[in-house]
Amino acid sequence: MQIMNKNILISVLVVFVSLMITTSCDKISEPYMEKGSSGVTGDTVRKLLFEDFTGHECVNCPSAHKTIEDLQGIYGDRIIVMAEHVGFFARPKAAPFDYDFRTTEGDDIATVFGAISAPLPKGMVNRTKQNGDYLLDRAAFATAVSLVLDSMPELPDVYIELDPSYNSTDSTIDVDIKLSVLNNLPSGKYNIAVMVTESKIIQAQKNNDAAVGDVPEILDYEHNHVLRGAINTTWGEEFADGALSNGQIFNKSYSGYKIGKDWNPNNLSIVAFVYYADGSMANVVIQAEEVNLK
Amino acid sequence: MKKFNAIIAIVIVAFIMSFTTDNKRRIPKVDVKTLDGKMISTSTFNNDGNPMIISFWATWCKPCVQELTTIADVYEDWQDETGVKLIAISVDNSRTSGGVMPLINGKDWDYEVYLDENGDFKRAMGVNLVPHTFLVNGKGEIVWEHTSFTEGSELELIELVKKLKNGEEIK
Amino acid sequence: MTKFIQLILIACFVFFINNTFAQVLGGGEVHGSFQADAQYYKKDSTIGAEDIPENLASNSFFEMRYSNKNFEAGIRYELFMPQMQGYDSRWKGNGFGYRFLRYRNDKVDITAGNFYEQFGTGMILRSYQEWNLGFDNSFDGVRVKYKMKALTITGLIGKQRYYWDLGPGLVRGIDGQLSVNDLFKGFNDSKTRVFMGYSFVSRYQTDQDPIFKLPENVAAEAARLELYRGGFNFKFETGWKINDPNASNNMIYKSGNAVLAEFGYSRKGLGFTLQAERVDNMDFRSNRTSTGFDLPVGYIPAMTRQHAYSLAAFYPYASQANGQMGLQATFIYKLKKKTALGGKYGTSINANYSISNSIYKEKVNDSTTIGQSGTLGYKSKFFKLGDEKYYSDFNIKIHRKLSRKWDVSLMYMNVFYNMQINEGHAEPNVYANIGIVDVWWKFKPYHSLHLETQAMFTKQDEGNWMSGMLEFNNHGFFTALVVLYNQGIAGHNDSALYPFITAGYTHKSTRISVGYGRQREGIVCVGGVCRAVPASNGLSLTINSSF
Repeated sequence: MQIMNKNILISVLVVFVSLMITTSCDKISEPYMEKGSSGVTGDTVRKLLFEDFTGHECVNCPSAHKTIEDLQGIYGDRIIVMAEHVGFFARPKAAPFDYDFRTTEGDDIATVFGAISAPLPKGMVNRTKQNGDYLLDRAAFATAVSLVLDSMPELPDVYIELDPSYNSTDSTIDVDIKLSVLNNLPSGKYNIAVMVTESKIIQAQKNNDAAVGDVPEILDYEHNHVLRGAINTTWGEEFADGALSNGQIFNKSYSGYKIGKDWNPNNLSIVAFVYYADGSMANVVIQAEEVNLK
Repeated sequence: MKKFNAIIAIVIVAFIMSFTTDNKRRIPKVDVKTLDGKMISTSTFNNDGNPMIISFWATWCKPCVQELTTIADVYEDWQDETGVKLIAISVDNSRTSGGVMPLINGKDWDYEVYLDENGDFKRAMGVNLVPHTFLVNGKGEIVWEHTSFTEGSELELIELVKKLKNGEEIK
Repeated sequence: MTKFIQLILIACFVFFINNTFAQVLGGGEVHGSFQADAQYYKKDSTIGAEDIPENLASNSFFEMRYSNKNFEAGIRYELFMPQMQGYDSRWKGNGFGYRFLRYRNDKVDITAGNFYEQFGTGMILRSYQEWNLGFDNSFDGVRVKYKMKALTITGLIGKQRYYWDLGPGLVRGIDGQLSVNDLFKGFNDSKTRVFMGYSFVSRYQTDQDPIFKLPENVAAEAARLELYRGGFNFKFETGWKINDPNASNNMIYKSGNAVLAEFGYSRKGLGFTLQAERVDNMDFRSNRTSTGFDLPVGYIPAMTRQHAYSLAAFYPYASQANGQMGLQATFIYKLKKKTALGGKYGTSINANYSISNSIYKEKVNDSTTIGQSGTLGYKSKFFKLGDEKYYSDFNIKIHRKLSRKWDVSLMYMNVFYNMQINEGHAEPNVYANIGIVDVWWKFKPYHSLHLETQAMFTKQDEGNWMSGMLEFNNHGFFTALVVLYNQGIAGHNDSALYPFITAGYTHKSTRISVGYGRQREGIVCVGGVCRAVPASNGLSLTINSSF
């Protein structure tokens, strides 16, 4: 150890400490929220699938829904939401919590990704692990969304076009899908999953955030993006097995999907997403798309 | 496979180490806090060539308080016979360290007590469970250690202290 | 090789190396310690104990320290394969979770690698390890301590351990501890001792949040004072934190503050302390999105007594770093021996009372609700009490040695426990009364019998509980039978019985114990030590050793 002149050492220390103290704090002044731009122009943009695991008895969930709404205010239709009512907090109880929002598809998805027994609310972005975990807490939603929509190329790897139609005579849905590959993707199996969600379902919801609504419950809460069912099964079907190259087109058609008895066709949307079915990126969603049924 | 290799590694290290010479270890130099706020180094622990007992305890550890209370009843006799000194190191963290002083005085203990609030001395001594008691000979070497306390164990401790005082080796 | 055989092999080697006390390698010394906990799980739905696909879980560690004059190096190998029930699933795995290099002499102390540190009471910086609770927030970085006559300065920079990874935030801290007595010649030998300290800690974490404008550098500072004179002592620490919108405070921009004060008086045979605490928005972590036990930088203690009897520790208060006000008083007195009240050997009385409450919060303005994210959150008046009681606890324990063979302790406790704030679910708050009788009979030298009976009476939660433990000790060998019974509440939960048998042996610094039966989660004090355990049913093995 060098023996330093005590005075020099002390003055260096004092300067260092004062520099450290004066520069190591950021005081933020109003406004605290970023003024978001609503959506991006053009439709051939990267869009992500946001799965919101929720339940009508989950008191912390309305706050999470609000956060997702705030994000939609910034990113517009680049965030495609699927609210999956699963687990303990989605169970039908005594009125007014007697509505059953659950689906076998939602339960299957939640079981695979660990949300079936997790404390809610939890979010999942493009079925991608963040720090080793699929499930995100509300505070991490925004950063995870930004990671996909701001840090990755704006041009999607696959462009999805959906053309749904509704037959009021027998309450069935037909949908034609065109997938346009815009980027070379590695060899492997690729799946497309097509789901039906419903918005504006007015039912009760427990709540503990006064900024969102009544506490402890909101009787006429507007439940949006609720997963209702899968048109081509929970995990979809394979549309390609091999490498994908820029310019390839895939077409898929589904017809005669019967909607549920109490579903309102005016509030239904078709959500489709393509994802890696195997390999090191298994489950990761490549692109999502949403179109209203009517 | 990784797990198996790790187990083998531990076993090999332990095996090698057991072949080293039988030298006694000394108390590591760590800072602890006196009951009146001063930070002192454990290297200052000494008893003028007499044996010392270093006992790790905490206010929330029942067997620890029991051990120290049981020894307190016979401490004076022990001191008269052997000149032994008991140094009690409290591992209470800042939540419960406020209870150390009233407990010591309330129970009328005559030990030298120090606070090791963040466990620095505890870690340096390899203590994982309390109570953990060490016996130090007149030369400052750790010759014996023991974890857990049950009524009657203090008899073994005083026998060992007497042996040390008579210049006998402890196995 | 099965896991049990592996563990037994390790135990044998540890016994082997314990026959030599200190190992010397080239002038230095090598020491270490070892602990292995293994649990074989059986599914038991009545107590919520799950079985696991691997059937056997084990938490083990092996740590070693090499020291040679002023140099020290240490390493700890940890194994969770898989982690035992009650431990976070992110612990699963194995590897070296702790390693460091250290150089120190009388003036300077430099550590590189993992280290634990506490500034003052730990209010704005405390990293520590509690293996039995699965908690380790060590720093991985560099720490430098410089000791002058009256002043000690500590500086550190690093990231915190996050299971098998590191937290995203970079923490920088500096602390100065001043011994005022050593500063002035005349004051040196004074009976009054005065200490002062100041610390500054800052966390840097990038802002990738598109919704909020987040501060990337969040700073906290604290100042402390300690006074000692004769039997009196007074300790005081106050801390402050700049805007830190995080997951646990719902992203509000209010600054935080905390005050901790303690006054004590003691003399031979009597001890008294009075503590007070007020904390407002002081949850400070390495990662603003972390919650629960993850990555805390500061430590806000619960202003309550830490109980050792299992039923007394049944409803423990969870410290609320984001808002609590508490008071605690402790009085310990020894009735002199050979008096009428004191008995032949004297009687010890230990009384404690604590109460914790919410802090007062009011709206910032008419258009903002209390705690609304993206705002200043709320305003608070320092001395005004909030309207929610979180916890209160009165307990008194009397201990008397009846004769050379008999030892008795009696304890009574009354507790109030706010379910919502402590456990996060809206069940009725618990009012409970607890009585404990603890008897030791030393019938022969080195032989003793220990009987501990506890009873808890409450109309809420799961109803009444009763516990009986009989323990036999013979030299280093112990065996105990513990029976825990829950009466249950008609129409709410069924009664349940938790029988558990355990036996073990302690030889010097090695301790082995085996247990079988049902265990409820909580604190268990048996065979001479106290541990926190999760719910389990099956066979368990614990080995502990140091060398």
